[in-house]
Amino acid sequence: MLAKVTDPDVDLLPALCRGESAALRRLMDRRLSTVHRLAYRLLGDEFEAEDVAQEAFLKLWKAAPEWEEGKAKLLTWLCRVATNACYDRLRKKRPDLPGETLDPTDERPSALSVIETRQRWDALQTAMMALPDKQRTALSLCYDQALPQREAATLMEMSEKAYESLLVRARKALKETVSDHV
Amino acid sequence: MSKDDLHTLFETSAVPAPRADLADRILAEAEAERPKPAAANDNKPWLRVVTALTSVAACAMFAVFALTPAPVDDAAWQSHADAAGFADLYAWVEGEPEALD
Repeated sequence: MLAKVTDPDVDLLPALCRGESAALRRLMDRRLSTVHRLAYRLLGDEFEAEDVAQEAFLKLWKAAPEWEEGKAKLLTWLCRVATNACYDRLRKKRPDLPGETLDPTDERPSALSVIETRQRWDALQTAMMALPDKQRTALSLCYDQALPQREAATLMEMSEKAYESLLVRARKALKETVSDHV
Repeated sequence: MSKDDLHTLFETSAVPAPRADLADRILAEAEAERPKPAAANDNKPWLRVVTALTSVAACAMFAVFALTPAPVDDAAWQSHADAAGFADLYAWVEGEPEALD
């Protein structure tokens, strides 16, 4: 039997169900930056990340009247919608490259050159973009602190153990790209 | 590079916040997508009465036309047949069998 999920945003649910935009505003005050951050890490483009965040919140706005309390946290649901939207966009950009088979070293020269000019942000993001989509998602969920590990695993539709294993591989791949230069 | 280094790297390379107007744009879009309910004072009871009366009248007229049998006027049909030159045919159909031999 599934345990009921306690949602820190549950106080906003009744108003969201009634379609009160003030509740949507409150929820965005709390969660918009988290959803945007995740989308930004996955897509590497701030404008696309904003589009994805907007898509996620509007989907929630429409789904709110039928929301079943206790099944999922609002933030987890938002992150999942955003992640799926990001995957869709990435698939359209490179339809012939399935996520896990992407060579993590593709962008290495570019990442190194950026690191050498001490543009840390660009370097990290370039290295992140060279990772397979799922590894990038796992790292972002872990290090950008979007979600606790259990919820991140749920969002990625895998066990906690599988998520940890994915994180190990992702860390290793990222380290290979940026070690000795940061 | 340790896990802590990665933490530091992510912390020092934080994703910039979204533009300030993003929340406003989402709210505007949400408002635009909200289904427009009828105004609270847009109540027309007379319209319901008219609709009901019209429906009853339509049903009554249909019943009158459907259930009333059409009058059969043999003489009228015979005169039409004569005028159209079907008198012989009618005589054959309606005549005595021996008369045809």
